[in-house]
Amino acid sequence: MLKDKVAVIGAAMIKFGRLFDKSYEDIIAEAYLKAMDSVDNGMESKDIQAGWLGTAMGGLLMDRELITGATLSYATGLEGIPVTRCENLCASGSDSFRNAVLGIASGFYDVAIVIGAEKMCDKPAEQGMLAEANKEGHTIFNYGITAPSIFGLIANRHMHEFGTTKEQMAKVAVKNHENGTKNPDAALQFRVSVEQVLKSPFVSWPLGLMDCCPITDGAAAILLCKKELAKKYTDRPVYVAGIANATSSKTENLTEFASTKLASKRAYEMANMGPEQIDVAEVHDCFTIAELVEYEDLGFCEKGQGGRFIDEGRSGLEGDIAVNPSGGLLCKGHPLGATGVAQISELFHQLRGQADRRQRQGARTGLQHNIGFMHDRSVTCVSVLTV
Amino acid sequence: MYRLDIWRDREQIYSLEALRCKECSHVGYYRLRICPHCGKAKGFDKVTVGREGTIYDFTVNYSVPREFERPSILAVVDTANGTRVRGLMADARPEEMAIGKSVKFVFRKIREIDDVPVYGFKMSLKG
Repeated sequence: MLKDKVAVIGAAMIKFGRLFDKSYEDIIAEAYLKAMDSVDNGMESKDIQAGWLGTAMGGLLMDRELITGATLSYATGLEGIPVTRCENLCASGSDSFRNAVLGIASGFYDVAIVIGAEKMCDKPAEQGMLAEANKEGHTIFNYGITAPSIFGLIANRHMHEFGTTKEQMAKVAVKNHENGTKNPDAALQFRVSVEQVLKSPFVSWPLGLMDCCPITDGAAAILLCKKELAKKYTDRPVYVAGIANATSSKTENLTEFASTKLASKRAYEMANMGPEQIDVAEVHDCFTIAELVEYEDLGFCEKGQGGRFIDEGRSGLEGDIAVNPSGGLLCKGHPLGATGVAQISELFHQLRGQADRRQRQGARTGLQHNIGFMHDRSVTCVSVLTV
Repeated sequence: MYRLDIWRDREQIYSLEALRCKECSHVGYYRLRICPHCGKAKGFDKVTVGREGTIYDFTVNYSVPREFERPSILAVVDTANGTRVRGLMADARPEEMAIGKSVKFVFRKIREIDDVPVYGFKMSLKG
């Protein structure tokens, strides 16, 4: 069994945003140094035996298709360690973390590092994320498909089947922006009202601009070790109770994410817990509708009740489960490979009571959820963390 | 830039050909060796998607590269034999779109690659 064999002992995200003055190597180094500084009793670089580097879209976004794990060791000075570069859509960072956890749980490594990094702003959107519509995938079948259009389809069908409203989606943005004002590392730090979200220009109807996460650069890093070593580094380690990845191509039903249902089931089973035990969750709110669907798929509420869950304030900082206290992707930004790593960093600080004004009081159990969805297939990573 | 996928998938694109799994009968608009629904490699029967369908879902995409119509309407359509197909709408205005409306498949220029036109199907509202 993997449960509680691996401890997170340090974690950090850099401030996400349009980091024009910082290179890919710069943000990797910055995340590394910040994570090293977060280790209570300090850590020496020679302690780190292996690394995983999560970056999703080097080709389209940076004209660097070939990233290689060696970029991690080059940028951090961790010369010689084994590093694997991981691409797994928007879950690249989480899957890097999962592989590091497996590496330590297997007994092969004692201490490892995970870095997620993505440069998304070097090119204008037309040549970057928008170019998914004409540069990525099949000439005919994937032509015209962008990330907002996939989630626009999901939103429209969820509204049709369950009566979910644009106001309920807007409330996700309102909640996460409120939390985001309390996170100095979030790219966007301002409040929004339901009316402002509803009046924002359409990106892919029914989703407006304020239903969408911003395109940002960013990086985050995690240090982890086997549990026997954890107390050497900190008196307050965070343990990995459950971790899972699930893939799916059964995406014809556009009101749920099959990969999320599968991954969360596996992670809950491994942790021997259910959604009722979760105090705080960082979930993949790339678009407001995604968070509502995830309430359902993660078992926080019944199918079709995601809108009601936000209406009743049950995902607020003081609600049943504090969802996205970091501000979520909607405020932090969503630099693909960094996203899952930053989510775990937030939970690391939440579970240690270090989340300042966005702290979920008494949080002891956290769930992290990160999904990649491309054309007709998806991959989800879910982790359950405890203290 | 050559795009050989159009040639490999010519029957799927130009004959609107879907596959029905010989094991589980699931119909999919794809070209695969193994059924993604049941995981069996018992082979497929070729079936036509048909020429008409009903809108299962749609979105009106305002955020597209310059070469696209703006907005560009993306639809997911169910046809009579149970195939779910995604494609771009032709000649439709956003305010006309609704889940449940009938569409027909039409042959249109989809795009140009290195000044060479690429043809395929779009969907058009009936009536």
